[in-house]
Amino acid sequence: MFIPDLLLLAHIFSQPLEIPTRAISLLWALPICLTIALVYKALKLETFRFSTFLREVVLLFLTIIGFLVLVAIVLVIIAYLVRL
Amino acid sequence: MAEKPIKNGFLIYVITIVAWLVPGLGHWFLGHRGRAVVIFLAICATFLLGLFLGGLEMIEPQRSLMWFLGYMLAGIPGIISYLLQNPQIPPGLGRGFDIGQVYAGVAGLLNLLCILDVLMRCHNATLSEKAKR
Repeated sequence: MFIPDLLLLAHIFSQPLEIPTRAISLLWALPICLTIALVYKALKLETFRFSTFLREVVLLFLTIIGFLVLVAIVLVIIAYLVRL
Repeated sequence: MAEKPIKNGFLIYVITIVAWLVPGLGHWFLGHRGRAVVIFLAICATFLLGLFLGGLEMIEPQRSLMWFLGYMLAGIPGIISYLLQNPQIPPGLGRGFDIGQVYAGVAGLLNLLCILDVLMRCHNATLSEKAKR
């Protein structure tokens, strides 16, 4: 019972996932931003209290997303100006 | 939280290797249990998500050595993935593969950051102990 389950689990990791080239695919940036915020704040906070940690992580996460959106807007403007 | 000073230099090497092998375990040994759990869960989840997106065959040194080094920095998850992958099967291509590479590589680099943090904490604890004397 255990081995077939394990093989089934391994099958999930056997081939790359099909991700379409759509705007919604950009949402794949969110989990990695969250991980970076989690690990960075886990290392940087002097005293590790859950409430403080959570607040700092949310702040950093929103900052990263904000800057990503800002960069995207700048790139769209540049692309628009190049096309003119 | 102040770390206990590590007087045995050899122990610092052991903690560093342990911190590399299991993400967060170095912090656990230094007494930072909360940080250790967060680091372990975050790095392992990111690495697994990377494998799910890119497939196991992504972990092979011939295709891209730099990415491979990044995966190996994740410690045991990276080593197990390398041992489980079949070199006969060519890795797939596409967007999933690319994003998977980034996820697994970033997980490894974050673990490197954690290893350096463990080393710094050991060093600081030893310095503060010397200053007290």
